Amino acid sequence: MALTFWRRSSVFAKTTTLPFLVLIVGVGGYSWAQVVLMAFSHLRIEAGEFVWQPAGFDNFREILANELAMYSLAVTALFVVATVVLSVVLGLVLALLVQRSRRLNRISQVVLLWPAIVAPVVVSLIWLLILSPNIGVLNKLLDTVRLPTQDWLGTEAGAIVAIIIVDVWHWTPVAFLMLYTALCAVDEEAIEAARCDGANEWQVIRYIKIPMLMPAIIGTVFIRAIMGVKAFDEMYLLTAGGPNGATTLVSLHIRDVFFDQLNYGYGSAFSVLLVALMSLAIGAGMLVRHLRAIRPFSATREVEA
Amino acid sequence: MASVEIHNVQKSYGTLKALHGVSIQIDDGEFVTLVGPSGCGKSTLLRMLAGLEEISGGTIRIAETVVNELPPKDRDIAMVFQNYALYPHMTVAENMGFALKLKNTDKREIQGKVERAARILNLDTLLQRYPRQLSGGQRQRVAMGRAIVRDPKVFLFDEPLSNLDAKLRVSMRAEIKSLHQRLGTTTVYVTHDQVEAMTMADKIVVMRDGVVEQVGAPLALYDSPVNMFVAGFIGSPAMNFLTGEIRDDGFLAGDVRLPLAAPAPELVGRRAVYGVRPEHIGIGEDGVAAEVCVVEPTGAETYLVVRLAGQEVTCVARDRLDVRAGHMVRLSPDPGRIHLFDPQSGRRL
Ligand SMILES: Nc1ncnc2c1ncn2[C@@H]1O[C@H](COP(=O)(O)OP(=O)(O)O)[C@@H](O)[C@H]1O
Ligand SMILES: [Mg+2]
Repeated sequence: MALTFWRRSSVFAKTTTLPFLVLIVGVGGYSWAQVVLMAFSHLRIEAGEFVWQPAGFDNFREILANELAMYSLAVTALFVVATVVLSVVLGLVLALLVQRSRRLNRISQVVLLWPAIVAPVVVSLIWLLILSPNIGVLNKLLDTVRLPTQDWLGTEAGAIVAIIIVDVWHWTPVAFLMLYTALCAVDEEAIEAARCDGANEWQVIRYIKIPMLMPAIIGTVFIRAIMGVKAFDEMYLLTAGGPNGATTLVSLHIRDVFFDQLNYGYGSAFSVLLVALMSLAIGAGMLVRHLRAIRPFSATREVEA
Repeated sequence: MASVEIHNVQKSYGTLKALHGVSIQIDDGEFVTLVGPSGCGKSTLLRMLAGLEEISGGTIRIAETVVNELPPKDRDIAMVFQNYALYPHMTVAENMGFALKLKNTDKREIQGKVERAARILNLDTLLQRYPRQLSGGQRQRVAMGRAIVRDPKVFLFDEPLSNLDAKLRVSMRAEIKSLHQRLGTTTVYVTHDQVEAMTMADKIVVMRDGVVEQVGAPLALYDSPVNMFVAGFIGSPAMNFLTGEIRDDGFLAGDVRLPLAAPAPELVGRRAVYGVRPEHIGIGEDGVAAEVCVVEPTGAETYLVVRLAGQEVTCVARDRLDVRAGHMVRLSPDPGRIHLFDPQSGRRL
């Protein structure tokens, strides 16, 4: 009977996803609960043991009063917005260019993906050499075209620009790959129809390709934003938050309080705050999208037909 | 509106030659169908007309202008694709008005034109829907609407009805034809379905393997096909072919003598293929005897597959016949409607 079949299959579906759920709740949920608990506690280590004391909102108050913490939120916001915009725009431009040049697209795919495969340590090393004030390629280049050189990582603004450039260089390939894949899946006939309708190259991109890529673009923005908030290793190796704390991204600040200052309560509270802020940002983004939903860009759902 | 002149057009994909010098003259306002089996190069030719495919050789003129190097946007043609190729992120109205929007047409004018086209195609109530919310037939109409809103020089259709069910296909066929009569726009229509070609066209171009086999009015192709390929392709059910020898008193296929209107004296004694359409074979009291193999009643007519001189022959009876497989019937092909072909080249004798 249909009913028993349905029941059985739903039981089957539930039992097969159970181990996965247990894993997620067990690993993720447990450690999360731990972090939230720590965020509302004062923690000290005495004789190799954690000593817990309820702290209420003390840790959060401490964060709000901490100028470096507030600064790290601001500089991270700047970093995320800049890297997301630059890498998605660059990735999109590259994807559109590479897909057009049928002849070069194999080789350009490989070349363009190369930075993403390089380990962060090596990336930092490469860029330290490029940005170095005396032996760096960048300054030599600027010098030959008679532009002012500078100690990139030594000045505050220079260091912020530098970590943005390095991150964009390192992770634009991911944006490129995601958008290129999506672009290859766009219905070629719709593009040809647009050409017959009188569209020039730019109009095809503007009215057909980009709207049809919208789901992929949003996905890429989302992933790149998360990567930006979590960005750590290249920055740690490149500037270690300096000079004068100018490049103290939240991840660097948390590391500092956790491992150098051993302030676990504060560090946990900061992590909780960060997740809350990100959820808020995502929620706001979804709300905006929902309100503008006069144009559901659901090209992916078209495929049935 | 415009004439189209295709002169010795060739297309190669690397070493593969898809078109070997195709020449077709299409007059202003004419409805031309390109018909032929799958893979014969119909779409390739149509896409070259549209500017979507490079021209490897020869020239194409639209309205007396050579368009070989022009991109699609400068050719003023409208194409309807087999899979409709609607813009999924635009509503029906936006789909139909897109070409006008690209030309910076005034918003109110676009709306007026879109609404007029929508009325013609019965799409008035669907203008705010998205393509995914439409049935196959409705999508097909939107694709046509997108073409007619523009009032282009030439309409190009690439098998536009092949994704529709049989009934819808018949009604859309009539609709496209009446649309052409109303607008009078030069139309090139690709299909692999000879019935579509016969019923819609002013002129049919039969293609095979990248070559034009014959060009002509539908009934001209039916009445005097230049070779066995065209003879077998045009008409349904297909023409019967029997091999044998031409005699002065008829056609000898095996041990059966088939009627033939007095053949030209130089043909007598020659081996040939005797072609006769199923509808030109009388079934009755006299004629040559044949054994019935299959009986297919369709209601209006009955198809009989019979064995004649060791070969299978299809014939059509208008009346209801009381015959069954194994029965004998007597056939009399109409000697005035016999086609003779050369067995080697397939050419008409
Ligand atoms: N892009 C292409 N690359 C290589 N060969 C192609 C391409 N497009 C079509 N062909 C070949 O050209 C021939 C004609 O194809 P097509 O015009 O699509 O046939 P039709 O529309 O008549 O079915 C076929 O043999 C096909 O394999
Ligand atoms: Mg085709």
